[in-house]
Amino acid sequence: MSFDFLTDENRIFTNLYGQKDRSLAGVKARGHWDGTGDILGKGRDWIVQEMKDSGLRGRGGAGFPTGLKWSFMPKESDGRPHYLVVNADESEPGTCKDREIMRHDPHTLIEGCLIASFAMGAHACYIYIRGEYVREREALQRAIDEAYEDGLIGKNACGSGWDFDCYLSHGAGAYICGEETALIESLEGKKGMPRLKPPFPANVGLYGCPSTVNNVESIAVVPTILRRGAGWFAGFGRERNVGTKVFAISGHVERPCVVEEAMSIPFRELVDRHCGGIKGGWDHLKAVIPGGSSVRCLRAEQCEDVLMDFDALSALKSGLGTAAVIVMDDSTDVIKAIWRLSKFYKHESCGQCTPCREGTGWMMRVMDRMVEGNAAIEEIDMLEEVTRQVEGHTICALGDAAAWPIQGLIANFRGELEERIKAKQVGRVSAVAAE
Amino acid sequence: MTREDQVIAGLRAFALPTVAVGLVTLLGTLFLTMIGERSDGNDETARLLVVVGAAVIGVLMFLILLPRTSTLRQKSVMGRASEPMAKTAIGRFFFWFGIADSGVIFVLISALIGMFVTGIFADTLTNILLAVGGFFVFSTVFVLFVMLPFLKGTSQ
Repeated sequence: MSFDFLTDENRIFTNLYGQKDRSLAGVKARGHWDGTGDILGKGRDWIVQEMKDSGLRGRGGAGFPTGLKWSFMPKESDGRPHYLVVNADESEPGTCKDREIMRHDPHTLIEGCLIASFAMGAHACYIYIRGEYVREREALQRAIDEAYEDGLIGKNACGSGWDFDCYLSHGAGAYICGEETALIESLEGKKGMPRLKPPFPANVGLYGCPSTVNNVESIAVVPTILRRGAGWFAGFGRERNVGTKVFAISGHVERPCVVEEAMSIPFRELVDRHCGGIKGGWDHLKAVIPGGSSVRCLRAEQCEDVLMDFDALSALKSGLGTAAVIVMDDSTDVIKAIWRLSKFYKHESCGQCTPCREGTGWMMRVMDRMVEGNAAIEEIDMLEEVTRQVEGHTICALGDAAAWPIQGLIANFRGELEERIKAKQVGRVSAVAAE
Repeated sequence: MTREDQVIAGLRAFALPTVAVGLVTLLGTLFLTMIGERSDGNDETARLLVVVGAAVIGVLMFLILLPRTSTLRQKSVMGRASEPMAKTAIGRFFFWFGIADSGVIFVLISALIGMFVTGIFADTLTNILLAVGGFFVFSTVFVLFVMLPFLKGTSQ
């Protein structure tokens, strides 16, 4: 299978590894902030239509079309201000793509904020950054200050006549604040608790005003898409899964990395070309979590030909999610790995919904015993039933996120679970479990 | 987030629906009582209407809240779960009544019982009002002001 890898001239993020000049002058020399005023001059409708035509799907995990999301904002203000909120609360285990953008290429985000805000009639944008991202916040604030000083944002931003302010807000480390309505609550100074929807943020969002919440990468790619054209962006990948994407590959590969590639790249090509392959060779691959911790894992044989995009991974009942690829080789205790995720979700549940608050605890405790082999075979089905009871019965998607990894484990590694339990029953503890 | 934080969040999440249930039940009861009294002036008719009406309102509100509580759904699984709490009848009892849970089931069931007791034994509109209001206020006060202060969590 041959794949057209993304060439350097087609990369949107020109300083993902921080090897180039991060100052505004350096950023401008690489083509950013070029003709931003002209883009704004083309009008809101043109920008939104161009975004729809580009086929960009949200990069935060759900993959909702960005242009369509923007079009949900009221065309005219009813007196309430409009807001753009950027979700930089990147807390999904394994995910660190936005971190690299904010740390090394922050001006792409600031420029995107200006354009997106203009397109939605928002004079203010709030960037909500993860609590642990201290260096990234400093880099982002520096970029915001530079943009203000240069007249790129603020009053009459880029000479467009549009006033635009950008505020940076620092989170306190709660995973749930990555959920858009919890993020809004947190921005308002309240505890980060997801809201019931409807009303959706496009009608009643930040401070009760129309708001749109977008992921960092979704916003950061906007200026380049508009400069180079929707057709250019749509030319990468395959239908419904177009554009370039920042992948974060971690785990048992030779060189874990964050890399921008064309969408729909085969998993194997991604790992072989950018990460130097699986540690010890392809035959040692055991499992892959392809989209951050909240999607179902895949078995090695499923990864042989799988394309890294929304639809291909959905077909395997997994998902692209945040494109944070976690690779596990055959030295991994996959049961323990999923147990660790269960523990994470139990800790991060906000507690509002009973199925999530109680269910995540149940799942973790049953998984606890699965790791040790102290469970009964029948409990595997029971555990799956609990995940089905949690899935879809909560205000936000945390319940789903907690349930899916376990469902993936049971679907793909049931044999290993059973073997662990049987081994314990006959007094034989497997080497991995004993560690 | 600590366990206490989570439990408090669960209680708070259901405070508003609990108030809504109480208010709707209260107003519904009043309305039905007035209709009953006006229809034939017969206390029996009024009482019957209150009982049936309160039950219908209570069940409807319960069903509206059910997708969020889902405790009923989980109970079937819980019965076979190997959780220590699920192994004992008393554990399941407490879970069922929401004491180990969000508190809402407790509130709703007490409100429902209140409706029936009120409808059966109350003679006058004032008594009905007092009894229904009393149950409603008790439930809300219990959840918001008695349980919450004892569950001090850390905020994030």
